[in-house]
Amino acid sequence: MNSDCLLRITKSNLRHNFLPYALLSSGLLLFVPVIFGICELDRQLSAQPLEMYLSLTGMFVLTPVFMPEQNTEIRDTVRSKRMDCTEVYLIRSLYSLLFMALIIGGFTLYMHHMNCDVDKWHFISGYGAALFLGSVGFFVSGVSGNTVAGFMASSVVYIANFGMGKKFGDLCIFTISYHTNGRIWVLYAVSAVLIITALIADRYKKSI
Amino acid sequence: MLFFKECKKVFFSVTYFIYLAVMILMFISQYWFDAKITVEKPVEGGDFGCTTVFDAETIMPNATAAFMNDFYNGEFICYPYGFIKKVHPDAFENEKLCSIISEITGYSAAEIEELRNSAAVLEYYEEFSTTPKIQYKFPDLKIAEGMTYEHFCELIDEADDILGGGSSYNSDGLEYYSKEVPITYEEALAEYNEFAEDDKVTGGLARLFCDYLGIDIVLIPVFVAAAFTYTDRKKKISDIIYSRKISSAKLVLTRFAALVVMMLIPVLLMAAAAHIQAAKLYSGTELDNTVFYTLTLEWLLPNLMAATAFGMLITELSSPIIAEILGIAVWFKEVCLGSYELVGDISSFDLIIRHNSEMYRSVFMANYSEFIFSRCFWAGIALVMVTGTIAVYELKRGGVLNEFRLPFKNNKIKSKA
Repeated sequence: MNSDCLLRITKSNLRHNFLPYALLSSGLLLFVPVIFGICELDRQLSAQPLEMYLSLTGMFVLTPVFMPEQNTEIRDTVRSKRMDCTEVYLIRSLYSLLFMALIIGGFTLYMHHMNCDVDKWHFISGYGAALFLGSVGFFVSGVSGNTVAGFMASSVVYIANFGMGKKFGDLCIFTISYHTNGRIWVLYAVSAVLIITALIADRYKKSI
Repeated sequence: MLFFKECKKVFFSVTYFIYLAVMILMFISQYWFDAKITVEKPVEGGDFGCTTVFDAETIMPNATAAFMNDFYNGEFICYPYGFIKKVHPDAFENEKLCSIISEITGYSAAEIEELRNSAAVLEYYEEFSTTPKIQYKFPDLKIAEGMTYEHFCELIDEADDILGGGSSYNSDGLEYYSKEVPITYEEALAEYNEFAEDDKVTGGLARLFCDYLGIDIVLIPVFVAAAFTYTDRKKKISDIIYSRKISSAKLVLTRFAALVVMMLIPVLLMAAAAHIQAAKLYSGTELDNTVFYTLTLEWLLPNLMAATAFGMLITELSSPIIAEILGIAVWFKEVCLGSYELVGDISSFDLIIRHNSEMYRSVFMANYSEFIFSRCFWAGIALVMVTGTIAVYELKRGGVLNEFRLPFKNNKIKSKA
């Protein structure tokens, strides 16, 4: 695959498949400071907008990665091409992950500018929460061939964390907000396993 | 028969499986373990906890002291949209707040400033925080002579408006500053008798059951309905179904009924499990053997209908993803921005009704008319949304309407054409 082909695929996907979800995440980014006072927050409160609200970005951008090919006609067309479908999924996943980092990283810097008590762990934890929510949706969507189910599973994990966060142990996504002492790397590791498993499962699935 | 075919389709969908898992998890993790702790008859001489009693003479100085503490710290914690906002008043706002304190206490602005220096100061750290906080204490704080509670409420509401709303200084939230008194044996016994005799045990437990399951039943059915409604489009069979003889009303109503029935059955089965648990835990006590089922239908069915109809309507109009995102937004608004009171705060348009206790029957019954109104209201809204879904389906069938899409997608198609 040459770089020109790669660029065309990325541009086309960004325009047709990614833009609505990027706009939705950007809307969330603008909405958070309106409802949540971002000024001189202490360490624990500073984690809330990142872990509890901007983490939804992961659900919005990672869950629909498989969506276009879940239309059987598109899937058949894509499969008839020389380029491997998994590579397209990887491209979509990579720019989604980058976009999440931009949103959460940018907001962390904005919070720092607003004299909130934030450090690199806020970014790591917020990004971990978004990654985990997104990877749950990604996994269910990839394995079941149903993006709606992916969004549902991701939402359920999010809501369950609100009610029973600490009971999830290392998989609680509100690590700093709930002061769980959870090992954040576990969130990253489980997310990686979910994403890789979904990609493998999709590759070996004959039909949706 | 079409209804049973649709029920079968619902049953074998992935989203229904997730629905079952979530509802069972909610039932076991929240209700089952709470209900396991039996309510015992109070014994004379025991400790029955505390309750607050309204006492204007306690509320006014306590609320004023807390208000002055925040004023001196220059920081007020507010929840204008249900989320925390630290408000730092500017000089103009501070002047207005100072004049309110002055009117409440009778002190001049200079005396209020002096009081800051003479107040007892306590430095403390909040949990997990490394920044010290200062608490000013005013043991002998006086309220201006002739200050009535009504006028005090007006002034405190004015302060709340200056702060942008959502502070703890508003007339509705002043009971927080009220006096705490111990609950007497007679009061505890009366509460127990309400539970055992008026509610016949299961009445109270049924309320707790509906309270817990009502949280999820407002959201999860939206996903199931959205995925189910989207199936035709996903499988590219919409056009085939459009060409069939069956009327749009019959098709949409059958699907709606299938979704509602299939999602209601597990809830009723869980109500039966809760009933059996109650019969075992309270054996020898007279129980109301129907209330678990009647209250489930009365309390949860309108929510289930509304969520299902919402999922169907939005999916027909646009896409299942939009239905899900809007569903989450509505749920978030109801749960996070709704009432803070978990017991005794029911209003006529509440979608999620909260009564997180098997006790306090009288508090629930005091709001019973609002409860009934809200249930009828949401059942009515559900029927309006189903009618809307039929109309949209009919228009799409006639080729008059297509689902709404984001403009840039259509632009691309047009440019190609």
